[in-house]
Amino acid sequence: MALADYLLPYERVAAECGRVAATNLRLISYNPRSGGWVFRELPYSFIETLKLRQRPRATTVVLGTLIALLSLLAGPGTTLQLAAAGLGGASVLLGIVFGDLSLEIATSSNGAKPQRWPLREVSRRESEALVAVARAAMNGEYDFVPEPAPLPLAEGALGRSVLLVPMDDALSTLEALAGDADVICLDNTMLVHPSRRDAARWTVQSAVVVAGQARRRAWVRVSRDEAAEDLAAAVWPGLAAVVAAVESPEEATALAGQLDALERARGLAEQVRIVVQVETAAGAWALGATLAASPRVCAVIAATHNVLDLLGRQDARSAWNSLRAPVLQEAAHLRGRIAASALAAGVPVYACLATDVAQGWLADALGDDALQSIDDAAGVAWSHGYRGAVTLHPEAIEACNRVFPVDERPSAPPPTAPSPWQPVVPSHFGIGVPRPAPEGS
Amino acid sequence: MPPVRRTLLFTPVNVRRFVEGAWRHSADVVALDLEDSVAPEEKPAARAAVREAIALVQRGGAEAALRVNHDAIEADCDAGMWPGLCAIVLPKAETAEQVQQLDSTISRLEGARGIEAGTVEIMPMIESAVGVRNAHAIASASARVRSFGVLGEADLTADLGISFADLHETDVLAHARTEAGLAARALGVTVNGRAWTPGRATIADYGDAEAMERSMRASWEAGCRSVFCVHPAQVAAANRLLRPSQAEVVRCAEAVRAYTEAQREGLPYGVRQGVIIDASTARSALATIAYSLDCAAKDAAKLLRRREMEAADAASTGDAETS
Repeated sequence: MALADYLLPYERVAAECGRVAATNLRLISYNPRSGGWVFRELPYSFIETLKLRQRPRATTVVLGTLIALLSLLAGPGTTLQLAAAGLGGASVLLGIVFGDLSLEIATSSNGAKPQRWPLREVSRRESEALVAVARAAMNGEYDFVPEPAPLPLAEGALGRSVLLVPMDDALSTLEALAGDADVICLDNTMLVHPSRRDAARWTVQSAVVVAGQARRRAWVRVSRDEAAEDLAAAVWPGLAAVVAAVESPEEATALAGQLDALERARGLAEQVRIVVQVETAAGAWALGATLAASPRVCAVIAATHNVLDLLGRQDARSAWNSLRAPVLQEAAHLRGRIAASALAAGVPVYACLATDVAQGWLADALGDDALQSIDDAAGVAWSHGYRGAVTLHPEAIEACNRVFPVDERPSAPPPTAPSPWQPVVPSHFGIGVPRPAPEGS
Repeated sequence: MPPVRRTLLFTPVNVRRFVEGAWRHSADVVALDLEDSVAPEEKPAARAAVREAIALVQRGGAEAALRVNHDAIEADCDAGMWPGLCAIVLPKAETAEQVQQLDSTISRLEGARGIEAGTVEIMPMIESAVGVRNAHAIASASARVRSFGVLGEADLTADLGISFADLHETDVLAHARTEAGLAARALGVTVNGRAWTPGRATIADYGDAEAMERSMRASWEAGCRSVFCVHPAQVAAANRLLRPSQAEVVRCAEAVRAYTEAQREGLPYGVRQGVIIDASTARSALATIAYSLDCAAKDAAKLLRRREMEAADAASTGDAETS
């Protein structure tokens, strides 16, 4: 019962023994303590090696040794002494041969010692079955998860609406999955405090798999400074694309190389694509060459407001992105330039809708006509060749899905069976209470 | 942080009166001109006057630059590159090779004349369609290019076959200006130039003070950090308007505070008037505040130098009258 409460939506237990469970998302250990249960967890992306170890059963060995020592008191050569010595020796032998099994888990945390998770009162066969399942999951083989399968990716059909969600905010992720956005983009840059970015990486694999199983396309937006860490945490089955502020063909090639290495190491069948976010003048200038640098590049996000801000366009913040816009010549030029480069490369381009407006009700920041402004901006973007929009406001998704054309919708068929997914927030999900930290982290 | 060079006042080097009075106008840079404001037959005499002029125009705390002729770069540099010069303005820049050639010339002369290596900058000016097309190559051709003149309005309109008068009504150079500006900024190079505003507000229209102020304000808002001035009347307005306004500094300070408070509270970003203040925005705001301080320091230094000069002037006038 305790374990069932701890599981995430779409999390399935594939093997369980000795109070250790291997699910489709992670390894979980659960043990009773006074007043409740103590959980430890390790996402598969953080496990480097997993071994089954057997150690002598300490209590049996110690007891046998004591009996053997006590036999010395019974006098030399007596039957009692021989019997006690034999019993002690046999206990030690049994304690060694039939010792306790445990999992030895080495993680990718720098300098962390391997963790030992005891498997209590289980057979070796059961333990080996658990290890086999966990290793399969570590390699990205989720065949043991019966239903539902992740949404297959259709070439060229990327979706009209992209909802940015903080990677460390499970509640927002669940709410996003309950909404109508075609793509959920888990952000580990602007929307996550630097001190929480490591913690966010611990959850991203689960979120990607959950998104896939909820039949939503999952993107992950990675930071420039910590791209390698973000990629290592996020490149798992179900991840459709990585959003990165790539500024040159060389950077695009390097990113593709990193993805290639991770895919090969983890045996991913689907290729993770690259979405280029243009947010600097250098990125805008080199966009054409960047898009040609790797066939993985599948879309462009025009963060025009960022470019203008960096260009020193003092009124950029109150202009294009937040929709209180006087018409800026520079904005029009940039939008046109970015769209032209993207269309020439045959990839769709996304506008940013109110991505500089703080999360919360749009009307609070933009006034009562906020949704009309979103509608108008989406319409302008569509007429300028944009094929979708990125936003961090769930309110704006409806406009995106309505304004951008239907034929750009994901071509995968809708689920045939009623989705078992419910936007339930389990108590352990970290909303308002600290999430139990995995040991050794 | 780039140096404060809000105003580059072109001064014909062959007109002694202008050169001697240039320090009084408070320009951040006096650009001694060997090009358009000097008649062809007067160029040899003008070249001969550059060395002395460099010291004269710096008396009020301005830096000295030299605008050379694009078809006589070697001769102009040989005559004009002396200690004290901060930059060579290269008009009608069209190719990276031109810039590289100028770079070689400057390097040679720095060595020969005791100028610290690498200190003399190149300021290319884009004034033709070819220049616009090659803007990125021009700006990246030399490490000496740290600022970039985006468009000489008169020459570019002529090259494009557009009437200069059209600029009063329509932003006919919008694409060229934005494209060249984007190239410069992609390389982290400061942009010299002016934004378009309706009315008689081109570089040549210094008679309409209101239009000029409008133009300077728009230029600052468009990210330009310096403008070329062809008349001293343009300098004061440019110095005053090509810097963060008080309201802007306050806005930036609020943004920085919102961001730092958010960081302290463990929030991913700050919020000011509903708008996200993330790390990038906070950095921009900090840079704006720092630039404002630099401008104030520059103005204070120039004011001090001017007062010293005026005092020296008054003393020498008094001496002359006494004698």
